[in-house]
Amino acid sequence: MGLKQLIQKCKTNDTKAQSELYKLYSSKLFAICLKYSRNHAEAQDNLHDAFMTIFRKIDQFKHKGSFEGWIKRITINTALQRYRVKSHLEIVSEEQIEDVSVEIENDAISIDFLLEIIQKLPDRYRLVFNLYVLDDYSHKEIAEMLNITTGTTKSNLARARMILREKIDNYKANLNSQSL
Amino acid sequence: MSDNKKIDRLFQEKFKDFEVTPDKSVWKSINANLNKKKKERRLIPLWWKLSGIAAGIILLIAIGSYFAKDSGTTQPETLVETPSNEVNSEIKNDPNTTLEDLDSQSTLVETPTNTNLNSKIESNLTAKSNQEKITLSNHSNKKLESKQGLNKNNTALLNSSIIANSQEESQSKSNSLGQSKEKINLLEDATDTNYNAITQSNITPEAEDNDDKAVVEEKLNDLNDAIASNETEEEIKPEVEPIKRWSINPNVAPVYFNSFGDGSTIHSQFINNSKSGKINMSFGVNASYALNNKLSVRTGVSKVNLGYSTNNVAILTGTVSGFLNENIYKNIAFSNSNNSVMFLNINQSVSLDFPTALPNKIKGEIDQEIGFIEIPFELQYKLLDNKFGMSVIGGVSTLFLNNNELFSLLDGEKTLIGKATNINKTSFSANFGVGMNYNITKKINLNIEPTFKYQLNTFDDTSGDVKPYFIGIYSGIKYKF
Repeated sequence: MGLKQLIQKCKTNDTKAQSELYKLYSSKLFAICLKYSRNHAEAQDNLHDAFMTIFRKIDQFKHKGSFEGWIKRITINTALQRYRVKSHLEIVSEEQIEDVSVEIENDAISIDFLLEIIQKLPDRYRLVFNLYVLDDYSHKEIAEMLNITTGTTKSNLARARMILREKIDNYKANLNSQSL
Repeated sequence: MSDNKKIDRLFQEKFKDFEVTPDKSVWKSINANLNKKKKERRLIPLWWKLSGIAAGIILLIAIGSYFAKDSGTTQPETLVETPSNEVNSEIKNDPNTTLEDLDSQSTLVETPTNTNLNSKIESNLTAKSNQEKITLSNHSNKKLESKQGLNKNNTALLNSSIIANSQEESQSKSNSLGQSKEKINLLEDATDTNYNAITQSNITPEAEDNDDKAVVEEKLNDLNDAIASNETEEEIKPEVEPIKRWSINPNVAPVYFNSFGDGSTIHSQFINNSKSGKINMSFGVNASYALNNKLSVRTGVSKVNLGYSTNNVAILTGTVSGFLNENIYKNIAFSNSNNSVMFLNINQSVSLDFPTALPNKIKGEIDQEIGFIEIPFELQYKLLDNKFGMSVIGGVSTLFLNNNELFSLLDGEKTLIGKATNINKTSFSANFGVGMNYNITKKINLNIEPTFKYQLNTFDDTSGDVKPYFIGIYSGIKYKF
């Protein structure tokens, strides 16, 4: 069955087609959820909500853009929805900070570790980092999505990078000391 | 900057083809939710169909019974039943006693055919079961034909002969001691004729003896007299009190709105907040048409206001930089003048280390106020109809949204936030009520009707489990004409 046919069947609430679509995309979308969430459980909640939205709104998809892009956007939006509200409450000092350069030499870092440190970032840092670095949104777009200024997104991104670098450095230092 | 690129590239490369298979439980819960949605979607059309069918059936029955009464066929039916029952009981009573009685009778009556008669009676009894069937068929025949016959009074030879048969039979086994010789002769005749013959004679009355006919005709005349006297009695009755079919009933009610199940119509963060229903007013007018003495249909129009509060909400007013995003609350359309209000679940903010920064006075509530124009379609069935009456009421209402507002309530200060976007313009409710009324005069009564109305698709996109309903104590004055 072609993708178009599958989508068409999903529009008629065909349970089999919905199951098929889920099998096809759940791994990719779950990866997105993991990046944007604090932990595995929240990621699962987001995936659930994202698929509910996808199935509910699938009749609005008119095959104008890529389907994968469409469902990815829904998934990201679902994640943002969850943290938009909460992120307001984080007390983040909004002063601008300078980028500090941190050396990264080693690429032999596991993805599990990277995911872990992303998830441990404060909510807004995590969202901004993901949106900008991993999903190619511009500062302007991110600012609109999160209803903050581009100054804030840039600052958040810088802080996110700094925290991540710090953790990677520590990780490497640990590795080095173990190997010695 | 190159460092930035380095770290970015590290993550980009690592996450490029990042895929993780989610737990099976996720699909299970998605699937369950999808099925639930489907059921909900189906619920309304199916419910419409069912109620439509039910209403149709009730209407047909009501109309049917109304016309049946008018044409007067029900009256002869009841009239015929009384005499036939008498005959029936006579016949039924006799089998136990017949043999003895007839023995004694036959000894009293000096007839040469004494022994012969006894034997015949014996055969009569052995064929009892057979005979019963015949009497049954006699009955049904009689009912059917007497209906036709009665309208034309006395003209029915058929009718008379059938009654004659049953009379004859009952006489043949009758236990009255003072039976005359004549009747014994009759009995002899009856026993002589075998049962096939009796059934035959049911159909072909011409085969009857003239003597029998004479006896029968006497009886028939009696019957007809009885029928005639009954008829006159029953015909007079309905004219005494014709039903006042139409009535009009202005009413007013305090209505209490709430919801079964935890859930929030506003936002998922308020699912666990305590909510309190409010008491508002409904007023309107109903017109009712009585289909018969018991059942009436009614419709009308009323204005109903409903409201409820979500408690324990942190309300932040003024310019809260970056706090407000209209997209956050997908179910709210903020009014332009007041888009600097923002609210959060107090409990949630506690968990996020925010409360120290929250001044006490921001704790308030969100009030949702909804108004509908309600068009009910209900059936009312009277259980009791004296000076004090009682009835049950069931039906559906169509609710047209005409007021929709969200307020924040903080320190007694009520501020309009905007309106909910997830309330359907048209929705329905299923209504169940009990009516009590007191008849002041034949035309006017006071009534009070506690009614429960379960709303079916008022909200579109709610968080958690929202099953709204409202209860109204409708009171009014009904004027019949």
